[in-house]
Formats: sequence, C-alpha cells, structure tokens
Amino acid sequence: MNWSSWSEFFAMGGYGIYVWGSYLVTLICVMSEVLLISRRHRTLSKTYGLIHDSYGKENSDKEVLINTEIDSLNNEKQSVKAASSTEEIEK
Amino acid sequence: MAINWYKYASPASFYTLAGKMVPLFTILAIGLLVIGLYIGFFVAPTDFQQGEAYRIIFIHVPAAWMSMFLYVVMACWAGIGLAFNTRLSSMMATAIAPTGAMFTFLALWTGSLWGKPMWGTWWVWDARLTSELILLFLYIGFMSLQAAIDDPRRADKAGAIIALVGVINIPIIYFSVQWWNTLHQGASVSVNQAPTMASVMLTGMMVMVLASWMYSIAVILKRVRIIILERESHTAWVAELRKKGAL
Amino acid sequence: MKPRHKKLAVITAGVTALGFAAVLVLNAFQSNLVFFFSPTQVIANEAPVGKSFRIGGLVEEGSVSREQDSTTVRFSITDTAETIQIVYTGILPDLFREGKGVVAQGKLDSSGIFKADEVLAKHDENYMPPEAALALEEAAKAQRNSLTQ
Repeated sequence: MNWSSWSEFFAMGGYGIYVWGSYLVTLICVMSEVLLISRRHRTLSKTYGLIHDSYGKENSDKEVLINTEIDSLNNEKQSVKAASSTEEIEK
Repeated sequence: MAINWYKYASPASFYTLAGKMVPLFTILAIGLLVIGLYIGFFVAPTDFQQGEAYRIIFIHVPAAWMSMFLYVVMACWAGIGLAFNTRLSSMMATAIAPTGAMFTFLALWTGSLWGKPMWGTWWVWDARLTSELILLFLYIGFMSLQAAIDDPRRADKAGAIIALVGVINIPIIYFSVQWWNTLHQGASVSVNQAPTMASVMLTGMMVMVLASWMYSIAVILKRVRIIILERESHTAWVAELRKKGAL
Repeated sequence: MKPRHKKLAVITAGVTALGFAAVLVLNAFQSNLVFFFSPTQVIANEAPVGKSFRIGGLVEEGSVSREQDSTTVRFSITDTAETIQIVYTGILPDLFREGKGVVAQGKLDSSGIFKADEVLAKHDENYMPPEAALALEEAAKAQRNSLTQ
C-alpha cells in the first residue's frame, strides 16, 4: 500500500493539483460523452415513438391535438439536430 | 459455424448486432477501469524520478494511443465508404470522430498538466506536441465539414478526403520523438524493444489501455446505432422497429 | 440563427481550424522541428548567431553552483563531447538534476556563455520504483569498480 492516510493520497506527494486535475477532467469528458449520447438516443426514440402513436387514431377531435403535437415535435427535432451538431463541434 | 459477414454490412442487421454488443463492452470497460485505477493508485509504486506525478501516465498514454488509433480506424472506414460506397462504413467513421477528438483533447490536457511540474512548462512547440495538436484540428475539421454539408452522402465523401489526407500525421506523431529533437521523451513501450517501465506500472497502464478500448467500442457502437436510425428513418425496417416500439 | 447562417458559421469554423492547422504545420517545419541544438552543434556554429535558440544536453555532474541570495544558477551542459556553460536566473523545474537532461532557451554571449531565459527538464522514458533505481545504480557502480580493479 502506497498511502498511510487519505490526505496523503489526495496530496499525491505535492502533485495533487496536476494528478487530480487530469483525472477530474477525464471523468468530466467521459461522463458528458455518455450523457450526450444517451440524451440523443432518448430524444430520438421519443420522437419516433410518439409520432407512431398518433397515427391510426380515428378520433377526429383528437386530430387537432395530434397535429399540434407533431408540430411541437418537429420543432423539438430541429432543436435536437442543432444540439447534436453543437455537441459534435464541442467535441 | 459459418457467419455470414455480408449480412452485417447492412445497417439493419448491424443495428441489432451492435445493440447486443454495447452492454457487453460497457461492463468490460467498467471492470477494467476499476482494476486499472486500483493498480495505478494502490499497487504501482512511486517513481524514482517523478514521484507521484507520474500517475498521470495511466490516463495520458491510453488517451494518446487511442487518439492515434481511432484516427486510423476512422480513416479506414471513411476510405472504405468512399471506395465502395457502403453506407455503414461512412456512418462508422462519423461515429468514431467525437470519441477520437475527446481522447486527443485528453492526451493534450493531461500532458500539459504533467509537463508543468516535470518539464517546467505547460506547453512547448516541439514536434510531438505540435503534431498531436494538429490531430485535434483534423478531428474538428472532419466533424465540422460533415456538419456543414446537409446531404449525408456528400458529407461522407468530403469527410473521407480530410480523414485520408490527415493519416499522414499519424506516423509523424508516432516517430516525432525519434526523427527530431523533442522535449517529449522517447517511447517507454514499443514493438522492437523491452519496455522501460517496471512491470507493475506497465500492467496498470496496459489495463487502462484495454479499458479505454472497451469504452471506445461501447460508445462508438452506441453512437453508430443512433446515426443509423437518424439516417435510415425513411426505410421499412426502421418503420418496423417503430411499430414494435423497439426504439 | 437561420440554418443557412448556421451552415456558414460551421464552414467558417472548419476552414479556420484547417487553416490554423496548416499554419502550425508550416511553422513547425520551419523552425521548431529542430527543437534544440546539442553543445557539439553549437561549438560547430550550427546554431543561429545573435538569435535566441534552445540548447539541450545533460547537466554535468558537480557543475551546478547557486549564487548567494539570488536565484541565479550556473551550470554546464554536455553531450559528452562538448560542454557549454549556462547562466540562468529563475525557478528550475523539479526534475532539474545533475546528470539529467535539460533544454535551455536563450542566447550565447560574446564570451561563449549561454544566457538562458528558460530552463526545462527533459526526462527519460524510464519508470521504476526508487528501490529499483538504487539497485541499478549500485550494480553499475559495482561493475565500474570491478572493471577498474
């Protein structure tokens, strides 16, 4: 075992800032990559799923509601597209 | 058992296959990461010259290797896509780029944090550091070019050209420390000579390298599945998936 | 932002990135591929005259002397063939040690002393625990002794 105490572990022989600065930023990068991907997937499947649900329903008074739903989805889709492209730029 | 490889060249069947592989590689990545970090911080001894600061190596080297390796893989897929007009290959290239860019950034970032206490500087314009920075710009160039072109097929072709031209940078990065006087030291691990690292340190580093491989495979497969869905949204098999609610 | 504007912005960003990369490549090829000169090269007048350049080599054992009440350090660096004296005022990196590699940036003065503005440590690619390093050193010492006897 290299360390006799936690404070010694965090100090890293005086190089704590450099060592933990490396590991922390790595953690942040990896977490955000995973998060961005799963968000992209969630929005995609949600969009597809909802559009599918609205089809085939014959209730006419719901039609208006569905149409507005689809409209808002289209807007959402565009914002998703924008978000995913900014994700790629940031990366 | 004969596997029909051609079957997996179609986005539809690859989508299913990739879906099965993602959890497997995620588990492998997490397991190896835990083992690697344990060895790196609790088993590997301190270094005779650099003290504890050398522990940055356990992410710096895997990140740097992945940044180069992923670029080569990306360029291969992009090249295959360009030559044979296969949709899936180009989608693979597109899916690899952000992860490759992330590893390049991490290699530069951790290198900088390592250089300050050891060399005495955050950054120098030596051949190794400069060529690695150029790699980051190549990834960014590839991604922004693809994002700028609306037609995916044309975006693939344009991206492939950048990717293929940029491959020349990879041997430059790798051999820079031999070809020129650099501040960066030579390779500790190379094909034609024994590693110049104590074996525990080397083990920890190699486990971390494996972990980043597994991580990359998991993340890239996950991303390529999304890209497949986005691009193939008009096809019958995606409609079928939607109907089953399998998205 | 309109899609057309977004596209334009992205293209501009991409072209800028590539242009910047190209500038870096050219710059690197022009001046920085030779990151440092060795003492032998400097003695042979291969280094730029009257201009700032970098010199690299090993700190000669026993050559380091610190001036009293200042951070000025004098030492010599060698590539085992030639030796050059260096004067530097400032903080040295942690890995600055006798017998280890350094890269110094500065100018040669008329008396052939290199006045450095920056000293960087260049370490080797060996990683091992201190005990192993000690054992290696002692083994080398033992071998030297047996050779001289």
